[in-house]
Amino acid sequence: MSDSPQILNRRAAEILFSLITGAVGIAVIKGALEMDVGWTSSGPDAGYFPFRVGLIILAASIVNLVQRGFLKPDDGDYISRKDAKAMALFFIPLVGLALASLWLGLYLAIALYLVLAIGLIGKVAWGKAITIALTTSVALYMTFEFLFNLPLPKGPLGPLFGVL
Amino acid sequence: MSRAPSILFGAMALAGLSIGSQAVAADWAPSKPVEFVVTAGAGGGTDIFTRTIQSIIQKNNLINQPIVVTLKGGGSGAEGFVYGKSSPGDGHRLIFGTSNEWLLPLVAKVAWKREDFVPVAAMAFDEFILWTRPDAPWKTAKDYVAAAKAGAVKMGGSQSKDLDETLVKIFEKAAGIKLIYIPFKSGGEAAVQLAGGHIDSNTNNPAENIGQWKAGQGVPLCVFSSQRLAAGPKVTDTMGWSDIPLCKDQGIPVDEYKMPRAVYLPGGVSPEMTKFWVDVLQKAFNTPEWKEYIERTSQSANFLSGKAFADYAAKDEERTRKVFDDAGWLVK
Amino acid sequence: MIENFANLFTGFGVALTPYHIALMFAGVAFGLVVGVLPGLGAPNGVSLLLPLTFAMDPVAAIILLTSIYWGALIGGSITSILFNIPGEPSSVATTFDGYPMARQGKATEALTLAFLSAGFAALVGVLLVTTLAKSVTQFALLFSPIEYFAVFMLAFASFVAFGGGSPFKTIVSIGLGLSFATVGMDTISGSVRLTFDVPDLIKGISFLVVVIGFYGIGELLETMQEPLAAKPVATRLDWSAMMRTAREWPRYWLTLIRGTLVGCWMGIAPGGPTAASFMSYGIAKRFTRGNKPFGKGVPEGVIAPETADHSAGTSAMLPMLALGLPSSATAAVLLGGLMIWGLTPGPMLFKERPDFVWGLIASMYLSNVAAVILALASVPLFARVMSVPFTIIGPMIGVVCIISAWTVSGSSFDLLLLFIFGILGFFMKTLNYPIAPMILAMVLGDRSEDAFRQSMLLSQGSLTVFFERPLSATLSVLTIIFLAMPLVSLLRQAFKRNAAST
Repeated sequence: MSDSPQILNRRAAEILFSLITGAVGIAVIKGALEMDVGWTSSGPDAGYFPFRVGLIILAASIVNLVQRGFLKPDDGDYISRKDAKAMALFFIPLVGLALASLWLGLYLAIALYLVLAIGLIGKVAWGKAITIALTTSVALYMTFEFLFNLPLPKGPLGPLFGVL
Repeated sequence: MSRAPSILFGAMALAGLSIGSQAVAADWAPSKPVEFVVTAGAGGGTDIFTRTIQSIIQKNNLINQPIVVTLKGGGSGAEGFVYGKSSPGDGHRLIFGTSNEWLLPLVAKVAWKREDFVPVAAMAFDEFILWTRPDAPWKTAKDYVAAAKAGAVKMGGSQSKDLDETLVKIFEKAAGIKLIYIPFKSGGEAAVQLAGGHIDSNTNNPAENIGQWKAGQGVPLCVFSSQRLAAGPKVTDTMGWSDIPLCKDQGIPVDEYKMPRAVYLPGGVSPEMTKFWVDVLQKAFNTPEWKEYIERTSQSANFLSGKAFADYAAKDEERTRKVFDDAGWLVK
Repeated sequence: MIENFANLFTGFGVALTPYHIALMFAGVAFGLVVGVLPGLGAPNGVSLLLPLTFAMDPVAAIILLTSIYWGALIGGSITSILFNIPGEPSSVATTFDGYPMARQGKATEALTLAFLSAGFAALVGVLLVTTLAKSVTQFALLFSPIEYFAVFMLAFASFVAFGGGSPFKTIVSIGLGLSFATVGMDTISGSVRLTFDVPDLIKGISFLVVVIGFYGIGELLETMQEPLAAKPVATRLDWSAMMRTAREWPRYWLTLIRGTLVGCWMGIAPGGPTAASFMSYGIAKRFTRGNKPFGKGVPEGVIAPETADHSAGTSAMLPMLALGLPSSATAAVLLGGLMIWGLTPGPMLFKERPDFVWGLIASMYLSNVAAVILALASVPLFARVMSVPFTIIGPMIGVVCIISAWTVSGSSFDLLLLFIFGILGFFMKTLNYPIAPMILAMVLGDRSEDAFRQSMLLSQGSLTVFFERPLSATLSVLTIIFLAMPLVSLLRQAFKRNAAST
């Protein structure tokens, strides 16, 4: 379908994801085994259901792995290089926003992120990108701090807002 | 006029000023919005306790910063304490709870110890009452105990390994009985289950079961206290709070079991911060609104702060640890 | 019943003052904003304004706060339909057909249908509260953990069907949902489960963070892969589309009534709005005639969850007032408010404070109408959002996801979870793992486990207890019928094929 080379085809993705869910299953089993997993005279113990849910996840993951990976493999397109680039260009800045918000505060980080994401990555005219970024940030600030009276982290700008 | 007095006066004024400014420097007051953390779910006793304090402080302008209440009741309140611990030394974040501050670390792997928080004040002590359904075959606590000795009696309560179940353990040991304890998410739920006749009894606080009592869907058998509750207005046609007999007079030797409603600060706060909040809470404690809250919820008002509160906590922890040890609940 | 209408009349006298009506509109407008933002949710919105009401008269206070609730319930559908991100937990099921409709350029139609159905169902819910207050309260008292468990199973069975797709993928989805719900403190044993010694996990995994991750971040990642789908949709902004939809709307009367009944029941008995909307969607999918392509943008798929969501919301007020039993998270906050204003919820509240109870009930008629009017008036505005190019709206949705995840509980750990669930969501969507059963498993998972273990404590380990009493037995049998139905229809098909070939 896509003209860009594939970096992950559907079969590989199915295998990868069934391994992930299988690992979750094992983690759940391991976590449940820290408690009693039996059935007492007054019903199931704390680990009874989690233990069995973990086993079921693991078993179903193995079936999926065998089915999608070997019995009915589908070597169709999944993620091409172009897709991966587009996804990374969205995902990585967003992770950056989350990290930046921890020390810049949410409002400043959001403004910076929007300028970059809309202006640089989205290739919208800079003036427009900056306007959108500032408007959004200020609108969110007004909504949360005044309408909702819900203080969000403001980072080094905090004292400045305190003066405001 | 000679110049001396004015110089003296000036010096005195200067001295007064410097003393005054020293006092200001030594004092502390919040400089930004204050956060009240509720270590319980919405609508529960701790939530109402917190909101009451919030409204008293706001109405009487006891502090000059806005107050934001955040609900962090996840994990029996563990969420709120973990959250509080994340900001050591911050005098703008108060944690509202019960004795769960020192009880939770005993029974669950949580990320704090009793010493990680600074106890500010305990302001009210909530009572525990043995309630039963109105169509039950027993009419007194004595008969209830006799019935429990003969067969399976179902006891509901709020949460597991928490205050209610601890009381049930103490009660079982004192009366020499074994009950079937069924934990629910809240005392309110236990009250409704009792009204529906699905359980035989619960150990709700007065405020949690008063609605059902008024409607004849729940009857108090005895109160786990060393003295009768304050009279107040009659709740039903024939009975008021003070008419409820004491459990220890009914052959259940549980002298006293109460739940403190208390306020904590994160560890590492300065003594000035603690002092500021003790003062504010003491002022709130003396308002008519607080009296009204205490009466409406049938709690006993008692202001403990500083060493008195810390001693109370240490003593209660010691006593409860024994109960937990017997029950095999202590976390390894 | 006649007495109740007389009371209601007095209630209108209490509620119909200019001040109260102004509060209703203000509350609804505030609620709409709260509902549109995915992380905030109605319970948060109501508790944010609770301090404002300390100085108010209880009647005015409850009118303001409940109006926020109605506004938030309706606002939640807007984000669901336009962006596939549920603004409220209870509007997850609205995304199933609402979003496909919007992508087909029918955003106006979807929103109009959603709002009208919501309004209709809310009013039926209030009517039920008005007329049957007493018997309904008695009905709610019949529910012990045994019946709770039976209801949860019924909700689950009516929604989950192993039609199409891989059954093993559905099983993995359900298993993941159940596991997420288990994390944190266990009500029955008081021990901490599946936290792997991470302190931030003791509070459990927030349902909202999962929903924002799967539907928000996961959806955006998928859109990045298919740039075609991201093209702005030309949406007609004219009022005539709205009028036409409104005229066609009564045609769906059967779905409307069915969804409303499911909602009323789940509002009074234990389910709550989220489970109600899933259950109603599942029932509509099974019983709507003509093999409609549910999930691809059919109107019934919007109407069914919306009616159940809103009738559950309004009828949940009754157990809250009459029993002190909140059957939704928002009702729990309101319950706290009641006690702070000095009222005692419970059976006697109707006798002690008739002005309060009937004032509230009367206001529910008015404020739900106000909510529909305000929401309909905002349709053109929201429909216009659909034509904003994706290069701008994409990052904006990203910002909304981050800020929403933050507002859930102000924990930076939730941001980490948000990204993990976003990636999981992308894989599950693109590899055809059904997400809805996972969400429902998360909603019902730990509640049904609690109910089951409480039942076992009550019955001292006897499993037959679910069939011993009439109510629980009926529910259990219905559950089995729902589970068996797909099998029966398979058998019938096989039989027909056999008959045809001989």
